[in-house]
Amino acid sequence: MAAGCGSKQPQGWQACVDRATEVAVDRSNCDNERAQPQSQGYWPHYHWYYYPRGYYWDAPIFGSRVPPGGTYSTQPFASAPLAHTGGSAIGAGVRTGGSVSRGGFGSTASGHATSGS
Amino acid sequence: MQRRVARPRPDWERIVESQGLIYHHTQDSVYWDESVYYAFSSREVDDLEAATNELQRIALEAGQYVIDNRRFADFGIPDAAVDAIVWAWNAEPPAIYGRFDLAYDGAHPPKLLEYNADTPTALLEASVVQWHWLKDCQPGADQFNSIHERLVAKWKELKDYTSSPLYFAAAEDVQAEDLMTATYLRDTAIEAGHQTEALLAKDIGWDEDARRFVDLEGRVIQSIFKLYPWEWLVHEEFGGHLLETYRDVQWIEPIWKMLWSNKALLAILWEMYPNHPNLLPAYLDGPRDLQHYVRKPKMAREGANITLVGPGGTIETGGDYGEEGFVCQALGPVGVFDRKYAVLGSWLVDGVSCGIGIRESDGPISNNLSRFVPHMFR
Repeated sequence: MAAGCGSKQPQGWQACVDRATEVAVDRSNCDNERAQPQSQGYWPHYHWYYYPRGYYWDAPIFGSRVPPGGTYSTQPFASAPLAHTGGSAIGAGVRTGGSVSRGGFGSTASGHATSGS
Repeated sequence: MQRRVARPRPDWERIVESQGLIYHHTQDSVYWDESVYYAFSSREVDDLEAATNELQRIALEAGQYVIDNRRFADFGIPDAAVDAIVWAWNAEPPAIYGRFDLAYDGAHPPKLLEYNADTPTALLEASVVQWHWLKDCQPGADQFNSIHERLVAKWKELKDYTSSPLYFAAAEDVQAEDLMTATYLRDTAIEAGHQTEALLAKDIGWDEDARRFVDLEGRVIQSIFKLYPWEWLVHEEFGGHLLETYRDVQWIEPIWKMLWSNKALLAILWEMYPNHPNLLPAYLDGPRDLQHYVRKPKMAREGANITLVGPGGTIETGGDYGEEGFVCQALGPVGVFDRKYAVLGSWLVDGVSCGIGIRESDGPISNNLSRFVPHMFR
């Protein structure tokens, strides 16, 4: 079992990737670059990257490097799902500095044990 | 399968504490009980392993069946959580571990009592403490237990997949069982090379401007293991934010575990696989033709709100569960040895059977006073 459901058929995933850093980024980068008129021979900065599901089950979070072994294309792959579409590009470890509230989780635990199901 | 009396190690409390098991007593009784142990044959272990893997196979089929047939209401799952569950089921984000509770007496096939798929505990004692007991007390014997190695291997597999730091969150509990379980899992992740941070569930912050969950320093949380039930998370104050941002955060275990950590699964499995050798008849609409059965809340813990209708009469336990409804399941062949009831917890890591732990009770309903008893096989 891969990540919990190994009996399901592998589908693979695709993500928009910055070719210079091999880091997954929001798909709008690919879409916007493709929407711009480009001169002949232009080499896109952003590519679609397809990875057959196996060792990695899902596209990396934005800001993370994609695993080696996948396939690049200037066009999205028709058969592979796009993971994290529309997700925020805020990365792990980034301090948001915004208005933070706490205590929104944990209230049910009072008087109950989590053990079990 | 035999129950054998043994002499506890003279300083067993200090020993198990040094291994992390600080909750070796419950109220006035022992929790870790090495005055007895269970002995299995290798054939029995093979049977348990095969049954566990088979149950995992049909549980996967059942998950797909529930999604395909939109049976979420049978599980008491709120409509707002359905999209995230279906998305997670298809996207297959990381899932680490689970525990089937089995009725087994060594004579009949193991029968599924429930699947603790979301927040199973009694992990450290099954993985580490009973292993050290084996080395100290039964050095020539073997144990059905590769839980620790498989946990480390699974975290290693996820090393390039999860974000750093990988958070481990649990609720504060009086016994510290949850905190120790989360800490143990965190240790296995550290052993695998992850950079980790611990966090109490109540300290998870919501940044309204960034619309992201953050830690105590305001850092965005992107990968988090939570020892906190999904049915609680989605109903609490931040539940809406959680569902809104579900695709941007790796929650381990994933939200689709709500399909398994629910007694309705027992009825779905029986509906799909009637007369399966590892299942007991179970129904959502009452006991039907069952003479002797257990009525269990779909989402209860530690033996709460159970009604057992048996040959000797009816037993009921208290509690405040049951709002989502009940499942009626036929009585299983729980092993009874020396008038003690033994339920086997059969562990899976990465979906593969890898060990057992045994909880022993004075009565037929396991609860938070049930004792953990080690095992061996030859």
